[in-house]
Amino acid sequence: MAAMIKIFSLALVARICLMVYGAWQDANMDVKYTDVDYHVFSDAAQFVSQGKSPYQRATYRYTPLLAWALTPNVWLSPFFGKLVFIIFDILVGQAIYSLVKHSGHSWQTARNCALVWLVNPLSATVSSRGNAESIMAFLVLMSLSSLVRGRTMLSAMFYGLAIHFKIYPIIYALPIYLHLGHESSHLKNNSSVLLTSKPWNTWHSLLNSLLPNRQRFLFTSVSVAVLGMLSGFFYWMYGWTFLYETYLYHVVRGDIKHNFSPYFYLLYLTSDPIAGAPLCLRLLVFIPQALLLVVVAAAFYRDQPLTWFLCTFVFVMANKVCTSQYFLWYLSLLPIILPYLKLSMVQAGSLLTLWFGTQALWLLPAYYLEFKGHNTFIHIWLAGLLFFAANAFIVYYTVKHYIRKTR
Amino acid sequence: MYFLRHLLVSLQLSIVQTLLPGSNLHMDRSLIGQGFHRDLNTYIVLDKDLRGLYTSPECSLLLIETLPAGVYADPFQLSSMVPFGGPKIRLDGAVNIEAAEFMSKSHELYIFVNVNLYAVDTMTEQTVINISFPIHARYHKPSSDPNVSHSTVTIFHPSLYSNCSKSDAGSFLSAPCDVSSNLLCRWEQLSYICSAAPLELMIPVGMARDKPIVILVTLLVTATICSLLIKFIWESDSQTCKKHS
Repeated sequence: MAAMIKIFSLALVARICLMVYGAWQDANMDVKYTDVDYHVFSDAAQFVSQGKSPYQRATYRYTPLLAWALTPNVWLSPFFGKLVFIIFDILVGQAIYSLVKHSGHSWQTARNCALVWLVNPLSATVSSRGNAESIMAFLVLMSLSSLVRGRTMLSAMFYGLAIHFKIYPIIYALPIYLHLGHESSHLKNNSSVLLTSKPWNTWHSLLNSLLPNRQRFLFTSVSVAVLGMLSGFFYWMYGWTFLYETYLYHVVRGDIKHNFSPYFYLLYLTSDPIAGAPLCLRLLVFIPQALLLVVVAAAFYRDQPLTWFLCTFVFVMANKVCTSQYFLWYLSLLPIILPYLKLSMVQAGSLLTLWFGTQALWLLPAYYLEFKGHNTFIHIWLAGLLFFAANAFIVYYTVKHYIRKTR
Repeated sequence: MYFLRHLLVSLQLSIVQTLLPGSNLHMDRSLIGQGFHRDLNTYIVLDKDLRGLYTSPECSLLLIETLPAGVYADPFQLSSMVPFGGPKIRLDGAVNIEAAEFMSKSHELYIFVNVNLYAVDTMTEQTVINISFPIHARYHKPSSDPNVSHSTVTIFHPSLYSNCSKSDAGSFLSAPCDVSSNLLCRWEQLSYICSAAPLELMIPVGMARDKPIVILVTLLVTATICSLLIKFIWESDSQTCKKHS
């Protein structure tokens, strides 16, 4: 553990150095280091410290908890929030370490998995630039980690809090529900039971497998209570704006600006309120995403870490809006399934190259559109489709090379 | 269309010139950058004899800039630039920085200029006031004309006012006294000479003629890939069970 403390400290110092460097870059260069969202948080914190609503800051679409937590940004130091995000970033590393270790791996394996997160330049820059994703990653990992340890109530509390922060963890509801219905909810207990039959072999057993039980009731009521209390409290404080900005916006969001989603150009071309397309076409794009989520949950729910990773991955790849920020949602879950991925260095390298390469193919026409004013919509659209195909291949390859032996 | 615009500009110019023979207030305008993110530059040049009129402490100039629905200035970006010497700008209302052009309205920027902050050029004895701030283009409606791949956004020249001189154009306006005050002041309009044409941005737009093919191919590709993936996951389920044993 002493070795781990050393690693965590080093990771912390490295991120603080990045933060200090960022302050220099912000003051001296045209391209700013600090994330645009960080200014949004800081402005919202300013509003709440004056007793106003954080939603007075346009594009603040987060829980008021975040604005409240960052009020020291106003009276202490503008770096306070970044430090909070950095600390959560390190806690994510700790959560990965303990989850992998709990699954029965050696501490060296657990350390390596934590290192995948801690020395990852992506996670280090994201938190030191002042993006709040590390809090989200922490909440999701804590919920998952408590769940696989059988601490249903704690897991439900983290789960409710996570959905309150960002609505996307709602996609884990089905796998969690299926998991909690299983007789032996822990892989290590009695794996032979898993093999005897598929629970949906007959309609009867399907129905049976979906009936509420004590664990399911506990998880549902606790998470709904946490989410409901927080939402009720903030609704009482800030009214409808809170509900709209925090939850509804993310569902009804009609952002037509170019993004990684394969549906981007379709949605843009049909966005015109007069000559656009019928609503049903725009709803059609939800179907593949929903089907993928259900199938992944049904197929893999016995292995919660794998299911959470795959659910997040397919959700992001088939979403109607997809930005690079969303990639962090599954990248924080990747380290916990790595010990079961039997890939050679070449295979792993090829997958990484495929993922980055197809992104680069998208970034190039996007740069020409945004900064050079060239009409590259067709290229961006084709690159988006290619990225979608590459992501599907990554899912296929991951599942194919995922081997989990029970002990 | 193009001809008409040029006619208008030259007409505007000649009016200014007839009103003000030998005026010594000049303006120049330019847009820096390409694509969706630009810097809007305005230069106001005061001749030596004119500077003295606007350098008393309570005196300031006001530029009213009208940004059409196709572009916007981000109020929070503008205020974050003030500590680094950015211009003092007040907006006439909230700006939705995410909406598309066809869902937006034009908005006005009140730019307050303190002439004292600008030095006199020792060579020309002129005072050059440079006001620069970033603007961003909004997404536009897809083009229904297959030959038109860009939408044009035109930004006309701002109107210029002063709170400490007699109007030479004979009109005045009630507008906020400064960037944060709720009080209204009387602003006299000033005429100026500007030889630049109104600024134009060319914004790439989606092509409506692509719509059928984009809908068809997008749905076909995503549906096929999803079906293959779903089939694979469904079948690998039994294998994963075996792996668990």
